[in-house]
Amino acid sequence: MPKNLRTWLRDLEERIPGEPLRVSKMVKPASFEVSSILQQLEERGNLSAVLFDKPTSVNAKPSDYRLLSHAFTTREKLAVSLDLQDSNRVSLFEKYLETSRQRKKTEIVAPTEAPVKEVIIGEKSLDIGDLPIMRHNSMDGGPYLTPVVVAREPNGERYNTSWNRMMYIDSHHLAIYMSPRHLWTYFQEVEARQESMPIGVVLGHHMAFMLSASGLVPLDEDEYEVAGGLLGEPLRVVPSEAYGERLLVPADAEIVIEGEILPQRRTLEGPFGEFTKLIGPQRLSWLFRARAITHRHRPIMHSVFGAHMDHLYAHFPIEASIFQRVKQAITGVKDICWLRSGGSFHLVISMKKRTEGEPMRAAMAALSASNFIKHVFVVDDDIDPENAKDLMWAISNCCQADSDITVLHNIQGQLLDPSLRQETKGSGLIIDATRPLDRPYSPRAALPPEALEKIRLEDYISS
Amino acid sequence: MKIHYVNCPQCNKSFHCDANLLGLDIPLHCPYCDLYFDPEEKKEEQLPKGTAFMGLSRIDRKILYLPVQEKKRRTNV
Repeated sequence: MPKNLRTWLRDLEERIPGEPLRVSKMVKPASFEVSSILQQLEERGNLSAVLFDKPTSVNAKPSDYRLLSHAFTTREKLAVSLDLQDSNRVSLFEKYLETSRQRKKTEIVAPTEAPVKEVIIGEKSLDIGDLPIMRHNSMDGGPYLTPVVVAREPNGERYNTSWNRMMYIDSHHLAIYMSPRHLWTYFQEVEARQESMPIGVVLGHHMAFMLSASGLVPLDEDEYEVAGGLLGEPLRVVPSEAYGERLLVPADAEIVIEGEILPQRRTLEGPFGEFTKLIGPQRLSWLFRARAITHRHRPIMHSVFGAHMDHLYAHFPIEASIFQRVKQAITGVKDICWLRSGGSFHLVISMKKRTEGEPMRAAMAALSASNFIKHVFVVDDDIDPENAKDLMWAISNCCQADSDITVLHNIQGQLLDPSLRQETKGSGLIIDATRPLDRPYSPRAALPPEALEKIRLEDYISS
Repeated sequence: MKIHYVNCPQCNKSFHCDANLLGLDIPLHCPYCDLYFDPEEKKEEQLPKGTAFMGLSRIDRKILYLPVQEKKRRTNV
């Protein structure tokens, strides 16, 4: 059977006892009921995936849809998605990078072989408000979808996949927010010709497919083929209802909304709680019009819980891609940490320095890899990059401000960074907290290992 | 991005928006009570010249899409 969201759930059940949690009671996602459940679980340290059997629609009616969230909250679940036994961070990086390089050509199947075509709703009958769309955080501008958007390059054959938040507006319209990356680049070209751009809004598939959408893949590569590499089998695609072979959509998806981003139209979008854990402001975003909805029987809609752990971990492929770029620049790099660094735009690099200047080069590679990175801290390989206390120790003991701190001006920032004073331009920071090589340096205080081994605490202290 | 806090005239709750929106001749949308309203405070000094990111050299009311129910409401008023 081709991989899909249901095979992922089966693997999850087998690998992680107790997951997913199932909620059989009726819940109202558009009235914060799902997000309230997810937040309370998170506060109790329970980061299990949750499958809601009876979510109501935006239109407040019982629906045939199910709703899945918290699919990315732990490294263990990422390991299930990538079919890896070990959930160590570097192992996950390496597995992601290895499989994403094994590009696989897509397989085009007939609509009769595509589960996503089990139910087809045409333009006249469709209503996006029939979906169980979550309101995530207080002040969200409306119910929000967190889909993977698929688009074919203008005048080409390649496909882009990307995560784009989409706000419910009415029966046929959503607002779509695009960062200035690949989808935005495609649309710039299409809009210049006064044309609309067909896209597929994918609301559930195997999590390896969903992860393919956040990797830092070059613009000239086909991200459907990257998804095939991550899945370990060709991605099966099928002509869309509204656009035929002009837009091929994933055949094994749970739900696809087909439609187009309209030229010379904008709409109000937001506020929305982003991965920064801040509520971004209301702004102008782009306008999407739906032309068809296709889905499986009893479909499972996937939703990332905005501004929470789930949202952060959905960015894992970016972290893996940054690891690759930094490692390519400096082979002595052992580990990096972005998602658990405690800062939305912080990166910690742990490395075995061989010559002076290497930390700076590693940091520059990270900054050039992604505009998600603003502040880079480079430490020796005895520091765990995920441990903020270790990091502070290194900055405190191995760093001199006049020579080890570099401020960079006029680099592209992240639009979701509220500290930016200009639309897209900001500054960067590099702190080299590695020990110098050009002079002897005090070792870390430690006991003789043999002395420590010889002493059994129980022999001296009764509990 | 510069932001600005506005109060909804219907529910009086506060939310924030891109400050550039206040220089445009467009309504804002209250996330709490769903009202579309024309903001009273216009920041003349912040009239936008268009934004490179949004890909439009000029932004005006005509490009703004309002939901079907809001269009009906405005027609009936």
